[in-house]
Amino acid sequence: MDESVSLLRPWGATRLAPFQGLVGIGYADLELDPETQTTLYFDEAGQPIEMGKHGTNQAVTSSKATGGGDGTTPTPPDDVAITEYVPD
Amino acid sequence: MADQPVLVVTRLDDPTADAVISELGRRGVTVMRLDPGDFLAGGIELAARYGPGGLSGTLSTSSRAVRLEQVRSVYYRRPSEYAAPVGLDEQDARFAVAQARYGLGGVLAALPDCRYVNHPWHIMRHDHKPGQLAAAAQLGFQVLPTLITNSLAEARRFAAEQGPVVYKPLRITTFRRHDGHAATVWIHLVDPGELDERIAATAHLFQTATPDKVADVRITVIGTECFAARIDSPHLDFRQNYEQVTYSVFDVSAQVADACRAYLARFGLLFGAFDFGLRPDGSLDFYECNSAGQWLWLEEETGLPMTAALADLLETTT
Repeated sequence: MDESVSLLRPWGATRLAPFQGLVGIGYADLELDPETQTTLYFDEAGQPIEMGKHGTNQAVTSSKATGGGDGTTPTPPDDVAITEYVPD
Repeated sequence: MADQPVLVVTRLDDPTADAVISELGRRGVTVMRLDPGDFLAGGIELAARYGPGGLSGTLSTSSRAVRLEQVRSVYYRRPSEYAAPVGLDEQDARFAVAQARYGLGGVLAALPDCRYVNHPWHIMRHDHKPGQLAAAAQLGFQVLPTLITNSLAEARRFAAEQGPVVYKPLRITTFRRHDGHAATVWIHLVDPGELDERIAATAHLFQTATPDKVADVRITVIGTECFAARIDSPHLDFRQNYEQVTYSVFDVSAQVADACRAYLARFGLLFGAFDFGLRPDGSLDFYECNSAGQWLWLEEETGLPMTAALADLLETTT
């Protein structure tokens, strides 16, 4: 085996492309509601945002399927890239 | 405290879990939400005892506590990774993470008489595409010619003989470009001229593209119920741009629905999100199955009542 092979960037990794359309994390802060055990989302101004419901595209980005499969494993889980994407 | 709680294991940002938790709340079912990733940060207290009577003990967060032996079901979604506190010595951190994974993770995976949607070890076993393709073929799904290789020559031969082909990662990982933007590998047709020696750097999966692909079909199986949606997009990979996607309820044949159920049974799963390519003749090419796939957005788009079905599965375990 050619040792130089190990220094090559994998071919698959050269096919990366950014997300299109409106995607974004859509919130500035998260907090667990101790009463309901659901998550409270807040914007930059500290105002609550309703996530997981319709309203804006941003509100549902982290509940959509993302590129290349959206499964997860216990160890380690997939870090779903779309939830981390911050648009300009 | 014999109220038989449902344990929801997921990260804080998971609107899909929120929908299920809210539905369980409306039904009066006690829920504890837990992210194992909080364990090493001190957010979870575990005391599990084993003896002649089996397991007994408690698990608590800052807002809830449950008796482990009373948990009726676990909704295992998208937990964050175990992470040691920043600043801990590297070897100590590795030790702490391993103890957490095998300790808390081990307890969570071995709750007696508990329904798992899905069981973490079954998720792990299922989460490899080669095994998925092999099982799908055995169960009668239409499986496209597929090659997994690190050989440039084999990749070129496959593209020539079985083309046009697409490239699909075997496993998704997080990529961030130098400008800080997240990126991923979208499904595009591969021009054979693009193939080069970098194929040898690791394993690559190539698959014949669905001939004259009409649309994507997502079949979400929850327990024994099948919810099928057709997804139309101008892109080969609809996930690339959600603003250009349209949805409709898809009429799935009994044969395909039964094959989906048999597939999940084979892997010991109670939930699966199956992705298919629809051909002009109405047949479906099996792409993959996600044991923790997203589905809430499809309920919102089509009205298919998946939240209720999931809550049923978690609530009624007898």
